Amino acid sequence: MNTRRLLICAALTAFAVACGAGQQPASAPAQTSMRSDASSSAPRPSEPGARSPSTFPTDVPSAPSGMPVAPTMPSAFPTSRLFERERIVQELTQLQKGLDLSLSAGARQCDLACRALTSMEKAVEKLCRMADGNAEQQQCEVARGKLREATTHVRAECGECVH
Amino acid sequence: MLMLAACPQRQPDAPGPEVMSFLSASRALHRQADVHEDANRPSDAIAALDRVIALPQPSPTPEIHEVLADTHARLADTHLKQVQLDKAMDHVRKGLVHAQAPTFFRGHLLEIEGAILEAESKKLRAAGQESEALAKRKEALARLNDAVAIHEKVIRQQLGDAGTTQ
Repeated sequence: MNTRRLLICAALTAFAVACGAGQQPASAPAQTSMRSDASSSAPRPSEPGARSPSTFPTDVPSAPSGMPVAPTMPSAFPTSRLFERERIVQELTQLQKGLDLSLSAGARQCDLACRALTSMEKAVEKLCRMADGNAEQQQCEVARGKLREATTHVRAECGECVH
Repeated sequence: MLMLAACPQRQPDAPGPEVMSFLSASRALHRQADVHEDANRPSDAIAALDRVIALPQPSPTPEIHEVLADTHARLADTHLKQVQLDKAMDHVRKGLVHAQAPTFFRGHLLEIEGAILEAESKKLRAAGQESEALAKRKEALARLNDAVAIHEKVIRQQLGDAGTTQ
């Protein structure tokens, strides 16, 4: 179950990374095409004055004169970003729902395991209280061993059970 | 991304309105029974649980079988505490009809059955019926062993085999 949670978290992270990468091509081509001619004058990311990728849209108006700049660019950018953001929010919401479902399934598994453990404890307690003679004592010890093992297993996967 | 695209479609099988209504009513009645038990009013708790059994039942789904098995187990346990052994055993038998697979619900019913059989054994011994008492006692031990085996299996099924030494 822990493995499943890890996988879900990994998927969430991968999705976030993919979304981040997915945003780049929308702005990057325009960005790189605009800077290709002016690459020598543009500050490198490591240089003073270099801008973070998030400031790329504001670079558009400051493109060198003579460069063909589409008149719709300034308004098209925010709209496409808005769409992109909305899409990402929707996908993350769906992902969160999936995560919630998975966690609630895990909670149900632990709930049933804890209830089974409680009932098992009662059965073993009665079994051992009733045990009389070697054969029954041995049965009791076997049952106690199973209970110990089950308790360790449930604690490892679910923590302490709330009775 | 394929996995992500699949996420929105991963909906559980939604129960129908009749099932939802049954589940909701039974949950409310179980809570009523909790309140009565906490106030040490076992007969009122029994009355609330009897109402669960009497609810109009839609076509049986696994959830409904679970609720009925669980309710019968709770009724059996409450009657057992009131030393109403026949009524307790009657509820165990009715509950087992709804829990035929080796689930928590069956294991729990068998655990209660073991306790009822033990109580019956003591009663028979007190009445001087030694051989009948021994037979009941043997039966009780068998049921309790069955319950342990089922619960062991249920825990492995729910949590996987990791963490066990076998």
